[in-house]
Amino acid sequence: MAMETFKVQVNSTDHPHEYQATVRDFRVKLAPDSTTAAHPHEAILQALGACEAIVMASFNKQQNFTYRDFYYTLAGTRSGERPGMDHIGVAVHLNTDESPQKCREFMDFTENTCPVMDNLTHTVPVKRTGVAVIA
Amino acid sequence: MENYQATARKTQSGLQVDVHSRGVHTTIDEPESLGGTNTGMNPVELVLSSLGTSLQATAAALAPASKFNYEHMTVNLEGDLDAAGFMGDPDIRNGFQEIRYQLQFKTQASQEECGRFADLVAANCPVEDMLRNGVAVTLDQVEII
Repeated sequence: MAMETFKVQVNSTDHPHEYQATVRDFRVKLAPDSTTAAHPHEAILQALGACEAIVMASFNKQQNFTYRDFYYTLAGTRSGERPGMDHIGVAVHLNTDESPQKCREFMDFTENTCPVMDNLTHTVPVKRTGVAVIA
Repeated sequence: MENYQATARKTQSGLQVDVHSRGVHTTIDEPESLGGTNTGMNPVELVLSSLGTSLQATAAALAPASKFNYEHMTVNLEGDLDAAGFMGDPDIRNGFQEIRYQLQFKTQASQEECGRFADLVAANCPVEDMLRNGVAVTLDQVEII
């Protein structure tokens, strides 16, 4: 496998406090205070849940785990002692015939494989490469 | 204390996942090169989108008190990931190895003023804080339904 670079652009829009993220052919609107767009903290929770879900759907056969259906619910809390959230709690709801122990083991595998989980719990270098000024 | 919630539900199609908060839905998927059907951005791209939005929202919130005026800001973000990591290579981490971003201001402010303001934004950006310093994640429930 080779290193792949993922690229995203986020722009301000005509609406104050609404932002447009553009990724390949996809766009998502995000906003800190809107009834029609997710908050960036909600987007982090969504990314973690989706990432774990995709790990499960990609590796369940290899790990000999069967399911009919599943979903994640995630809750984040922010105390204000730091800029970001302090804690994220994850719950998984599995429609499966597997035993509770096998579910636990598969969840351990999922958490230890998930890229977003890795970045949130083990930190990642974030570098600002430049500030451009357009008059 | 602020609370945030989200749901991520696996759909019946490929690797596709429907995520939502407060009824606002987004489709997440993987490109074909990573086994998906390319019906939406992937989770790590959503992380970069969230970081870019958090930088935007932080800049908008800090600008008035900092007496910094700008008409428009663009955030360009990149993250490097080697899929060999999550495919099981123990020497390669699963997630991004590095995230980079560049800010572009449309403003009458000087380059130096923009640099100082960008430092202030970085120090106060919630999502940059979480990625740079980490956040505690706990698996609170495994429910069989």
